[in-house]
Amino acid sequence: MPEPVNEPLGTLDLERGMRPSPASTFRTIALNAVLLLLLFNSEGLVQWTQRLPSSPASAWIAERAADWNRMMHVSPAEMFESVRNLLKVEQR
Amino acid sequence: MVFPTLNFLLFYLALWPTAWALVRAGRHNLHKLAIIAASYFFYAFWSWKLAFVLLGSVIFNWGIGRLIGLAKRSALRRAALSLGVAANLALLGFFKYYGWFSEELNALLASLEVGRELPLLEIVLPIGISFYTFQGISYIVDLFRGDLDRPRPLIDVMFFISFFPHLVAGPIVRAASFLPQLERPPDPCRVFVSLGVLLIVWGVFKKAVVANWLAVSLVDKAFFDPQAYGAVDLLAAVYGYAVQIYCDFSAYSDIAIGVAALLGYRFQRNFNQPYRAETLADFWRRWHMSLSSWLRDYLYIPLGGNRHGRIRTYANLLLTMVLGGIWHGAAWKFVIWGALHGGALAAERMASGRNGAAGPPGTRPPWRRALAILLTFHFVCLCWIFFRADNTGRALDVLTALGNWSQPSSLLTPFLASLIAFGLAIQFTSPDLLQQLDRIYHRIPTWAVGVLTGIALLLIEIVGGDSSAPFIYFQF
Repeated sequence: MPEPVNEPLGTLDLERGMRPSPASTFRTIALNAVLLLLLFNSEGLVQWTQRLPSSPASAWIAERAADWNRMMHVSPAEMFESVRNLLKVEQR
Repeated sequence: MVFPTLNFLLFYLALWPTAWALVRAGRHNLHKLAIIAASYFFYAFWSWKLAFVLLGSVIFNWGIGRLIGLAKRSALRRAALSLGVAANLALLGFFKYYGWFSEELNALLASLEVGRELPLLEIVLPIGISFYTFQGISYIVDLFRGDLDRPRPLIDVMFFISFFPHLVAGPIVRAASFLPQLERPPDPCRVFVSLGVLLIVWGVFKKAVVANWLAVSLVDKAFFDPQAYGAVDLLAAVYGYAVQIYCDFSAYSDIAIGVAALLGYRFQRNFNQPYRAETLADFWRRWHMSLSSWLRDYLYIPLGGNRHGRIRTYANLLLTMVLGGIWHGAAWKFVIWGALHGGALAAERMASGRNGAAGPPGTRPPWRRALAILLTFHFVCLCWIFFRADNTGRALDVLTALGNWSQPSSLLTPFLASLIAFGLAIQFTSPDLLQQLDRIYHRIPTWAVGVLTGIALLLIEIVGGDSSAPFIYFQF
């Protein structure tokens, strides 16, 4: 067993030399990180909805997740095409 | 609910703004209640019925604390403490050890041809019971010793024992260090956000990439059927397990510390590059520090520590480590693991008494330090074989098969070897790496930190193994 150390437990040792910030900075970090995950890992969202217990609410969430995942698979060319089609409709 | 999952992310993203909004509104008690409710919700994900065992343990320890605080005579205080410690150990003993004890006793009675048997019960082990029981004991012992100045209200005791980041797999938080944090609301202008984010991302990486890959592709296979593999694979599996258990358990601790830090609370550090230890005593100052310091303060020192001569010191070391082994589970393999560590610690102390001139770790010449690190690491690996194997027979199979050098390797790949090398290399990084990263964090805009965090999590998702695999220490 290690000998007793004269250091308070619940310690500051991890925080030593680190600068605190306002709690709100985490909101910005979390928002950006979650946005990136939603954009690039929409498949993960679909897989998560498939593990939810079955219920009408879960089915609704799963449908929305699948829609979102389909949207995220749109390529820039497809996106360009859909914008062009949209403008064509308006020109008519 | 497991930390690196979408379930937990959603849970935390709902709780975090609520908790801080209540702090900003000056509703400190409501803030605590919200976190307590969230903690029970978190726990009930495994079993809502067993959440009542946790609740019962909290209320009981709070009651014993009140008795200790109210009693004027020291005999009464001591009686309340004894009742509290005995009841906590009985709760842990019943859920964790009754099945093992009854099986072993029935086998012994059968061999002695005694016709009586203890009834075999199917007992579900409440997750985290070893951790929250020790925290309950910490509360009443700290009160009794005066390390904690007064009994705390039920809401604080409930928060302390049930707080979700440490609830199911530690770190074992000490009452005297945590409860004073609940007297004032956390300061929303002084939060260690960089520490929290860095520890969470680092923890998710260690768990999802290093620990999960090593477990699935190497360690589980080799330990399931050791005789099917040669020495190269088994040696790799033993080193792999040393890295896996470090990356798994320290990942949980890092995420727990990070999650708590973002809510404004502070936990004890739990790991400090343990495989760079030069002695076994040094290893235990670096590995699962919250348990080893708990065992030291609440078991080894009350047993007499090193105050009653050499023989008693060695016996106390051995007993403490055997009990520490049994704390991990009801099996002979944990007894052997604890006895090996306890015996080696006693031998080390005996040797250091004789070779006092060798000097403390860190002052030896480099080659001796390297040799000491290598020896300590390999002894720890030897003990891990008993810890990881399903039973002692399987552990002996691993040891026997380690002599089979004729069979070629079929498990070890360059990727797995590089994971093992990485897991060992991170033991020797600069101790102030976090501080260096903190300086970088404060130089870049917050939105960019968010984008980098997102990219890191996406990369982990791509490279990582099964991120929902349970943490090793959930079983304890």
